[in-house]
Formats: sequence, C-alpha cells, structure tokens
Amino acid sequence: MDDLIKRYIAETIHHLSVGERADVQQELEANILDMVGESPDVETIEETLLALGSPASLASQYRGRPHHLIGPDTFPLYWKVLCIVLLIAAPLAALFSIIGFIITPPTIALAEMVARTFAAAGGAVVLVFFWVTIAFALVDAQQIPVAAEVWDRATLRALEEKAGKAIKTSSVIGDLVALAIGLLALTFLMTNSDLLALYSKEHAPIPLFIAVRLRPYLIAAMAVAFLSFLVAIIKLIRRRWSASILVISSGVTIITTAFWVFFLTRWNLYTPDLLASLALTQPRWQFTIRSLCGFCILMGAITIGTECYHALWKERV
Amino acid sequence: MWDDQILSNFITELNRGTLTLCVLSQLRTPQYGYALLQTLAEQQIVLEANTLYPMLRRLESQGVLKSSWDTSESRPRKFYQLSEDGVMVYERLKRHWLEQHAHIQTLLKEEHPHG
Repeated sequence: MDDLIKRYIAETIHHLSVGERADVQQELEANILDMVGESPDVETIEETLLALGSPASLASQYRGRPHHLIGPDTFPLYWKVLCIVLLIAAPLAALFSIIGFIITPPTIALAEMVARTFAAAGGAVVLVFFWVTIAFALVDAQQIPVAAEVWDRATLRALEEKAGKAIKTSSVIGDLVALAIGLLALTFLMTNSDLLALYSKEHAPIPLFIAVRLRPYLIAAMAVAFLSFLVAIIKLIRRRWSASILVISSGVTIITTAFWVFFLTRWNLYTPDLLASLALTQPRWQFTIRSLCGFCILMGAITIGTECYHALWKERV
Repeated sequence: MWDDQILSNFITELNRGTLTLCVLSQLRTPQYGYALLQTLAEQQIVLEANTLYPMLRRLESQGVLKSSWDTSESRPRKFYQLSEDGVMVYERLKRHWLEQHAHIQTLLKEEHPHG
C-alpha cells in the first residue's frame, strides 16, 4: 500500500478511541484501495485523499458526535459562571494581598507591592479559569442534559405547580463564588500554611498547624471543595430539584462535614505553641474543637434538611 | 451570493434524511462500500465517500446492518447487508417516505394547479 495512504489512515485513526482504531483502519484501507484502483499514480491517490477530507474531519464523521471540552449546550452557562466568579475572585485576591501587606508590612518598595497585588489577581484568574473549566468539562463529559430528559404533560404542569422546586440561581452562584474563593485560599495555603496563625500585637504570629502534616489535608480539602463545586454546577445546569440531585447534594454535604470533623480532630496537627499561647489544657482544647465539630454537623444537617424541604415538600407559595 | 449559500444549506438539509433510505434500499444484497457508492452515483444519488463509510459503520452499530469480510479476492473487502431488524426498519422508512412524498406532491400541485 502507498505510504501516503498509510499516513492518512494512521492520522485519521489517531483521532478515534483506541477500541475502534483497528476496525476503522482495516475498513478505510479496503475502501481507499477500491477508490484509487489498481496501480494508481500519485495524483489519483492525492485526489482521492483530498476528496475524503482532512483526517480530523473524517474521524469526526466516524465518531458521530463532535468532541468538545465544553459542549455548545453548556458553554453559555460556563461563560456566565466564569465571568461572575472571575469578577469577584480576582479583586478579592488583590484585596487579600493588600490586607496581607497591612498586617505584616514587607520590606519591599511600593512598586513591588503593586506588582505582587496584580500578580495575586492574575494568579486568581488562572486558578479560577482552571477550576471552573475542569468542573464544567467533567460535567459535560457525563452528558448531563441541560433540560429535563422527559418533556410530557406532567412535566409541563410541574413548571406551574411546583415553582418551589426551582433551584435559586443566585444562591448557587453565591455557592460557586464562595467555593472558588475557598479553592483559591486552599491552593495559596499549600505553600503559605504558616499564614494560618494567631496574630497579636504583643508577639509574632503563632501558626495554628504544623505545616508538613497539614499539606495532605489541604489536598483532601481541595478535593472535597471541588466536589461541592461540581454539585453546584449540576444544580445550575438542571435548575430544578429532583431526587437524584438531592441524593448527590446530600451525599457531598455528608462527605464535606465528615472531612472537616475528621480534620479538626487530628490533634497532632496543631502546634504546641498555639495551646501554650491560648493557655488551654489539652482536654479543654479538645472540648472546644469538638464543640466546633458539633456546629459543623449541625450546619450540615440544616443544609440537608433545607434541601429536602425544597426538593420534596415545597410547593408554589 | 448569500442566497445561493442558504439554498445549498436547504438542499443539504432536504437530502440528509433521505440518504439513509437510499443506502438501505441497496443493501438487501451484500455490497461493499465503494461499489455502493458507484451504484448510488449511477442512480444520480450524490453521496460523498466520507459520509457513506462512517454511515455504514453507524448503521451497523445500530443493528440495522450486518457485515462480513470477504477475503477470497486479492484484497479483503467488507460487505454490508440489511439485518433482520434492518429489513423491518427499511420497510417502515420506505412506507413513511412514500406517504410523505404523496402529501408533499399534493401540496405542490395545489400550489400550481395548472403546472
């Protein structure tokens, strides 16, 4: 077989999934050889391959469905979320940077402080873009339909009768912004965990956690926050409460609560200096933290309860 | 001209659905891709190779066609034929098309009663 035909087929199947490559390769070989005929000249081969279209376009015909990182159905929502979260997160990152300079004034020139502030905002833009894009790409890869899958008389009537089951967009956007800021903060803390400290005018900042031990928990916290981020996006896409969304959302709330309770009760994470500076005994400190855990569990329960109310009982007011 | 482009789009849209029917109509007996392309071309049905070959594969994955490799010739060829389900799908599509065609003809005759 001609080398050009081999290269064309190799390039085409490169765009397909591994599972279908061998089959399509065999088929294309047979078809192209039929098309060019016996002992073809270079011009005939080139004309035939040009008529078949570029390898990418031919492969897309074989796939049937075009490949998108974020498909056309989801893109408008992706763009909206990205703009909103960026518009809030970037100025906030700059603001945090300025507050950092005020709390612990660095010994650098004003120009460098301005540059660092812009760098903080730029870093926030990159991170938000990364997190939002990854989350939407994952949701899109799962083919979560933007509209309800069933559109019948009952669904039509439900629009009117069950307006209470609508998921409030503003509240989800608020969650997304808060989670994006949380993800930014966690990413920042990966290399600056000593900033989580007890600040006082009398003494130098006392770190709350032992940095080396904290790092794996920060990664886990990012994973948990990212899960919540995904759930918020699914809510934004589906826009109405359903049993499946309730189960997913409640599941993630339980995972999040369990993670924070687990994290807060890792007693070997806290610095001894912290307890000393607070003049607390170990049992008293543990009681305080367990109370905080109780508060976390209560908040988780309230969140799940509120969502159950919206998803299962709330009707049009 | 912009209206030529729109007209071309309309024609593409009009043809799109009927091409599957045309392909199925020729597959009561086994045929390989290129031969099918030529048969259709002889009947004035213009179908690009890069549309037909993936279409055959898609129809096979949907169970409408079945395929087999013939290795008796100098080079192997994949032959496609209507499956049992495919015969039923084809018959129903054909009936639908003929009814639709009759309705459209009536509409067009009403538009030009003396045409």
